Parts: sequence; structure tokens; C-alpha cells
Amino acid sequence: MTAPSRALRAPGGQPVEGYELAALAHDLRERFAAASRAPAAPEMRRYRLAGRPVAVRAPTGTLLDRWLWALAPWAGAAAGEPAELTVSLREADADEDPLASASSGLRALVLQGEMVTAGGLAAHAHAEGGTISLFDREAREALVLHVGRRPLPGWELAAPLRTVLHWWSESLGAQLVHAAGVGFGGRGSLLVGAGGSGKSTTALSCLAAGMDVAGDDYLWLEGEVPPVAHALYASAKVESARLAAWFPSWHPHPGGGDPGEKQVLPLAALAGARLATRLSVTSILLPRVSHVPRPRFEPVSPAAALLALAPSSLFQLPGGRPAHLRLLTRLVREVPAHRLHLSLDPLANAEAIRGHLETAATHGAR
Amino acid sequence: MARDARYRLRLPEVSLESFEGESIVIDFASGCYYSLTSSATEMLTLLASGAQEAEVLRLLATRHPGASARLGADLDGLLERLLGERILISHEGPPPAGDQTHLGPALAYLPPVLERFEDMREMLLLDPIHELDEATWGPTRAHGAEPGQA
Repeated sequence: MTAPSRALRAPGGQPVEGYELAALAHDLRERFAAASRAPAAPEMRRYRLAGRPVAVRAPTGTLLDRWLWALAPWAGAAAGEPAELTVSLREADADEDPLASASSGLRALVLQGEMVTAGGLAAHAHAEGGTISLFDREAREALVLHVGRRPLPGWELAAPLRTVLHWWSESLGAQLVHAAGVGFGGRGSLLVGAGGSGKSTTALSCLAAGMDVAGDDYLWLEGEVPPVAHALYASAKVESARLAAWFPSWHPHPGGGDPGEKQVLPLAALAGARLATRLSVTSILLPRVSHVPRPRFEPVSPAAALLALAPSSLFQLPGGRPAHLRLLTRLVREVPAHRLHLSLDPLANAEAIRGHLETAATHGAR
Repeated sequence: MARDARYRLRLPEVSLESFEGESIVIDFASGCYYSLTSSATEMLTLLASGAQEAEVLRLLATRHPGASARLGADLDGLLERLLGERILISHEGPPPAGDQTHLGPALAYLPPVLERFEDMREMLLLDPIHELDEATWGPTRAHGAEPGQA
């Protein structure tokens, strides 16, 4: 092995080398395998995510129920169908040190929430959420470990395995996008924008108005023609005050939110058959809370759409790279974009989107 | 002034996407991103293709004859910011091979505008990527690290 000429150094100054990540991956795999040999048989569930079979293993069904409730509508891929991704979940015992085998340098990097990649392996820890994710691109295998005494945070429960799904999508040429998806008849709009732009509330307004919803925060984008957005999470986050004022009959998922943060709604229960699995993306909408008397659409350039879509999609997930921009750029070049000035009437906003999509469908059919 | 300097994008950290009259630049190392409108798109597209400053001015004067008197000052101002933000870096030697530069139709000349956004910066700096070389199992580089860091 050639010694590196310049050591990558962890925050504490310790050098880190690639084989250390491979060693940590081996150790974590061993720990997961040992857990699966425990007296209680591990649970295996099959899902169909973005049209592909995924298997998830965990020591107990209770853990799967709690951690992956937002994926529940996509459960049920055929048992004989080989999984394209296998994910193993575990919660560390209170006295377990999941990084015991890691060098001090690698340990410092991971514990600081930094992403380390080497030889098709990727590791990332979310210190605040207490999760460590490991992805083996070649084996199409992922391990996710929840550590610490605090429960899984609301945002992890609302969008479980997001880091792993991001890495997997990347390996397939797809892309997770920070957007909500609404529509009907299999066609729809992406609602894009930073937090507070009205994305989630608009998506929920569409649901209340009888439209289909594919999620309110993250979608899986495929570069088909037209582009296709797959639903990933049957959850929606909304501020408590807005929930009470606009959607008073809807109740948050029990244990799904964090005190003082947004409430997490169970989209599957609220939407039923209107929870869309996938939408052909025919428009991009940039909501803006303008409080205009009636909602209004204003055409925007592809550059403006990319400006609204790309930074939050690329920087909120670990490992955003220039290559990830290609699919987003193609999307904004192919699909018309409008700024949607929102009124104070949620149903009027939703009806405006419905009309906008109907108009687009009519023009597209000509 | 000779104006024979050439520049290039600070690849691979910086991405440039150009549309008609507008460009988006994302700096994956710093977490900053930029919107360029009007003549700034033309200037950056030409500079990033490796054109010398003099060539850029000559081309712009052909496209915008009514603005030729101010082009030099406008280019200097933009170039100072592009270099300051490390979107462009100096390039020695012949222009880098690449796709032919397409500027699209000439629009009415407006002074260059470069807008900087850094609302995602904190997020990226929390999540730098440390790549370790597969062959040597040693470090390659760290995306998202501040200049000077490994």
C-alpha cells in the first residue's frame, strides 16, 4: 500500500486513510450480522421504492413499524423478487460504542457529521439525529444505526433513510429533489422553494381540494421524458398553528413530531387512494406567500427555477456534487416554471393549481 | 493594457449552468451560489471558455456596438468579483479544449449583475465530503472544506 503523501486530517488533527473506512464498514457489518443471529428472528420487510424492490431488515417488527411508518404505503414488493437495495436497521444498546473499531481520526470525522467516501463505500453520521449511515454501492447494501439515548427525531421519522436513498438514487442516475408533488391523473407539478415558501401548506391544500399528492418534502426524480417524480414518503410537515387554522380536522401522526417543531401528518391516512406513487412532471411551481386576493401565476425562467430547486436539493443531502446538477438542469430546461403567488385562501390556491395543470394538459394534447 | 490573460472555472468544485441571458453558478466547496444576469452571463461564458480578455471585449463589442465605451470597465468590475469569489481562476497556456461556446442571440445590453446567495453555506460546511483515494487508500480532496483545509 502506498503511503499517502498528504494525510487527510480529522478535526482533532489525526490522519485518516481509506482502509479505515473499509475496516469500520466490516466491523459494522459484523455487528449487524451478530444482531440478526440473536434469539429473536430478525424481521424482513419488502418495499417498492421508486418502482424498485427494496428489502429492509431489523431486529424487531416494532422497530420497523416505528422507524419506517412513512414508507408503509410502499410495502409489499413480491417476496421472490430480488431486492435492488438491502437496508439493515439497528438501534445501538445504550452502552454500545458503534465506532469502537474506528481510528480516532475517522471517529472524529464521523462524529462531526461529515461524509467520508472510499472505494464505493460512503459513511455519514447525523450527530443531531443520532444516526450513522453506511452505503456499499457495489453490494447495494446499506446499514443504518441509531445511537444515543434520545428517540429518533421527527424529521428522520418523516423522511426515513433519506441519506441512504440519496446515495442509492445517485448510483442509479436518479436524484432526490427537495420538492412537493401534486397533481391528478398521473401528471403533476413540483412545488419547489426554501423552507417557509409555502410548499408544504400548498401541497396539503391540494390534498384538501381533492387532488393527488406524492409527498411534501422529498421526491425521487428520474430523467425520463417527461421527467417522473416518484413518491418516497407518505408524510407531510406543517406548522402547528397552520394545521389548527387551515386543516383543523387533520391529526398528526402519533409520535411523529418534535415538540416546538412542525407536526408530521400521515399522508397515507389522509390521502387514501389520492396518495400518488408517481407523477409525470409537467410543471414547476415556485410558491410565494404573497397574500394576493387571488392566486396568480407568473412565468419564470429556467434559471430562476434552478435557483429555487438546486441549492436546497443539493446542499441538504450529504455529498451534493456537480454531477447531481445535470438532472435538475435538464428538468428545468424541459418543464415550464411559474412563480405562484399564494392567496390567503388555501382552497383557491389549490383550485388555481388544478386549473394550471388542466391548461397545461390541454395545450400538451394539441 | 494587453488584456491577454485567460481564466477557467475552478473545476470540479464550481458548476456553471447557462440559459438564455441568465446563468447559475454553484460552488460546491463553499456552499455559495450565484445568479448572473444580462451581460454577466455573456462575459462569464466567454471567460470560462478560455477566451482572453481582449477577445471577450472584441466579441462583446460586436454584439453590443452601442455599449462599446463601457465594456472595458464593466468587464473589469465583473472579473474582479469572479476572481474574488474564486468562481474563475487564472489559466496559463492555450484555452482548454471543450464545447464550442454558444452565447445565443444578443439581447439589449445591460450592465453585468452578479448576485451571491449564501443561505445554504452553513449546511454545506456542516457536511463536507472527505474522499479517500481507492488506489492508495489515502486522501484525495475534501469538498466543502474551506480553502487551505485538506
